[in-house]
Amino acid sequence: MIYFAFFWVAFSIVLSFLYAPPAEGFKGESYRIVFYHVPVAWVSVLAFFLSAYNSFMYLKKKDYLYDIKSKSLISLGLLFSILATISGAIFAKIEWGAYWNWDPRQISITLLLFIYSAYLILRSSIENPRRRANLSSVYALFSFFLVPFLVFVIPRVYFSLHPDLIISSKGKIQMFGPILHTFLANLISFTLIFLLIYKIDWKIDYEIYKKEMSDE
Amino acid sequence: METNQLNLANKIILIFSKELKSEWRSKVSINSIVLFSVVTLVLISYSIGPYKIDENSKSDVFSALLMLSLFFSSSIGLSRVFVKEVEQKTEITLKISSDPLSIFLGKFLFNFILIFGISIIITPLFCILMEFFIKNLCLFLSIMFISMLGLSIVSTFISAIVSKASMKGALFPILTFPILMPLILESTKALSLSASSEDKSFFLQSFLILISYSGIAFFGSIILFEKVWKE
Repeated sequence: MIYFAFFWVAFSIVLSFLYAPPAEGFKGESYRIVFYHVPVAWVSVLAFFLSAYNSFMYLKKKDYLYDIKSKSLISLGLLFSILATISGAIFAKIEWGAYWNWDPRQISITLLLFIYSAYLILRSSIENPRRRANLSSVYALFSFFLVPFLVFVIPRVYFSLHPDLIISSKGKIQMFGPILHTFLANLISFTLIFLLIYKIDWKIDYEIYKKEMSDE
Repeated sequence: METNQLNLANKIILIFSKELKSEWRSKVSINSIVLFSVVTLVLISYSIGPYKIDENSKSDVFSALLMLSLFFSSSIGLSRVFVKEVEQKTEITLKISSDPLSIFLGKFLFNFILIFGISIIITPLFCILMEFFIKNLCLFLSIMFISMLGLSIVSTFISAIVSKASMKGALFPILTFPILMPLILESTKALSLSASSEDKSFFLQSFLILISYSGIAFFGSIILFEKVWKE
């Protein structure tokens, strides 16, 4: 899978610069950032959904593996949210003239960053492993209930400069031809990167946990 | 069924009156919230004052300042509702004497009355000091009511989580702020609109957003509270 992922990422990078034609309505080649910005944002939301599932499973089965997976997903979600914030800010500077203007999407991603960070701070403030797993799972699930407001309500209720590049407000797909192919290739490539890092990360944490248990 | 409901209502009232009595004895939460709000108000009044902001942006700026001062004041007082049980070592007694649902609802009711009562005192003071005249008082108060409802639900629930962790004081605003942000944003917008014009068209949308947010937070808290409380 690793070799396939490397090949696919390289292939997607080539597509995004050589295969996709220039798009109208954007300054220079700035639109190409969409091939990286949207996939990292998608991965950060995916990580959040998966961490909520793992938190739910932990509360149901009390198996530490779910807690380890949830923590790993949130750490990766934080990393990808930071990447989405930076890439979005670069696009905003080129298109709107300022890195930050509190656009509703910028508010959403900032709050997602805060929630991820708060989860990690909560974990570090509890020493007892069982209590830490339980309370952080509860917090992850509780924030998950309210995340639809950040991701779906705020960007649609408030005026936003953020373009609806992929799916319009009428539910129609906005991308066509080579641009859509390149976008999908990058979406798969970032999902693959995320899944690979996630697998390595939780396995390392799980081995550390098993070693700690056997030492005790 | 009816007896169960009666029991639940009785238990909630018992928990609520216990909170009220314990607050009446110490007055820690009420004093800290009032003092914090007044200090913030004095600072705002001294540094910004009623005339430094132009008339057009007055309602936006003052609504945001009012909501922020209430949020930070609540983060000082409302977090104590579960933290004090741990500090005073009364947590186990409470666990034995009542079920999780009535404990949560009783404490939430106390927090809600506390913060809404304080907002009713602080808002006129704020308006007098800042020369901030509200054009649609009825809508302003309705929005304040729903906002404080959502704020007290989330604060009560997070207070239960924080009471089980270390560095409780610092952790509470860190955990509540990102979760409460959608509520603060929407209520600030709605408060500003109700203060600046008599137009009521915005109200339904804001009301639906705030009430659905509070509803989700309420049911989420009820589902998850037992997991925290039995920890």
